[in-house]
Amino acid sequence: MDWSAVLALAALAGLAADFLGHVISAQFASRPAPAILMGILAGLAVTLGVSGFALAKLDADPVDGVAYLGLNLATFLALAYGYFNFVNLNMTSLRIRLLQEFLESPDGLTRDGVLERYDSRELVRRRIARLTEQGHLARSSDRFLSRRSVLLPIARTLDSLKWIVLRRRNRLIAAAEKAASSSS
Amino acid sequence: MTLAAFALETISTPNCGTLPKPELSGVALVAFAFAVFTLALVFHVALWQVRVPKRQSLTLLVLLLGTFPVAVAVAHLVPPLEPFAPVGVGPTLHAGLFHLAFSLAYIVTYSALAEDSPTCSILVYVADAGEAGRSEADLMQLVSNEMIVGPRFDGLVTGGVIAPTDDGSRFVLTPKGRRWATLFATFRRVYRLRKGG
Repeated sequence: MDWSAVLALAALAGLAADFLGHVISAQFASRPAPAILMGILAGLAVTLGVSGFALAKLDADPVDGVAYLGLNLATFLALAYGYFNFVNLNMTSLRIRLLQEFLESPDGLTRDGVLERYDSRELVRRRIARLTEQGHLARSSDRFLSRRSVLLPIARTLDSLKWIVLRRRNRLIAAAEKAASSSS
Repeated sequence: MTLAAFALETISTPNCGTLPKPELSGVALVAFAFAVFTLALVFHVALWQVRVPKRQSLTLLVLLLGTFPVAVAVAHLVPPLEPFAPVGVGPTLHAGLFHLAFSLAYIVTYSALAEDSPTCSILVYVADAGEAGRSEADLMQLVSNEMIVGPRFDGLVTGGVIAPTDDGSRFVLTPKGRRWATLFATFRRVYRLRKGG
C-alpha cells in the first residue's frame, strides 16, 4: 500500500464522508443545518482518522506529521466549504428556483409571468423569514434589528473583498442609500 | 525538454509513491502549497486591477489551476527553490489537492463577490442602521425586481438554459436546462430540502 498517496487523499475521503453523513442525517433531521453539521463532523473524523493512520504507517517525524495533518485539515475544510455552498445553492439560489419553476411547467412560462410569480417582494420576504427564524435578525414591532450573527462578518468580509478585487461597492446597498439620500 | 516530459520525469522518479526526500519535510510541503496558492491569488488580484475579464469564472479557474503545474516546474528548475519542490506522486498529489480545494473554494467565494447576494445585502443593510433598524418597506426597496429577478431570467436565456417557444410567446427548458433542472431537483430530494430561492 502506498501510504503517502493515502495520506494525500485523506481529505477526499473526508469529503465523501461529509456527503454520506449529510445525506443520511438529512433523512432524519427536521432542519437542514444539523444534517449539514453532521456531514462536516463525519468528514472531519474521516480526514483525521485516515491521516493519522497513514502517518503512523509512514512513521513520520512528529513535526512533519503535524504539518501534514494541518494541510489535510485545511484541504478538507476548503472542500467542505465548497460542498456546503453547493447544498446552500439548492436552498437559496434564485436561478435554481427558476429552473424548478420551468421543470414543473412543461408548457413553458412567460417572462412577465415569472416576474409576477416570483417577484422581489416574495424573495425579500423569504429571506427575512429565514434570517429571523435562524436568529440573524430580530423583529421589534415593525422594525428589523441586527443580532449577533456569524453571517454578518462573512457578509462584511465579502463586501470588503468586493472592493479589493472588483473595486466596487455592493450595488444593492449603494442604490438603496442613493435613493434614501435623494428622497430626504 | 518539454514541460510535459519534465513533469513525467519528475513524478516517475524512483522515490515515487514514497515519503518525500528527507530534505522535503512536511513543513516545506505546507509552505510550498500555501505559497503557490497565495501567489495565484496575488496574480489574480493584480490582473483584475488592470482589467476584469469578460468570462470571469473561466479565466479565474484557468489562472488558479494553471499556476500549480507552472509553480512545480519552476521549483524544480530554479535551484534556490528546489528544496521546496514536491517530488513523487504522493507529495505532488498532496500539494495539488490542497491547491485544487482552495482554488474551488475561492471561485465559489468569487461568484458571491461578482453578484450582490440579497441575503448578505439585507444583513449588512440592517446592521448599518444600528439600533434604529430597518422596516420591511426599507428592505423591499433594497431588492427590486429589476435588479434581481430580471437579470437572472435573462442570464438563463443567454446561458442557453431556457429558450423561447416557436411562436415566441413562452420560454421552456432547453435539453441542457432540463438536465441541470433534473440534477438539482434530484439533489433537493436527496437532501430533503424545500423549494429554495
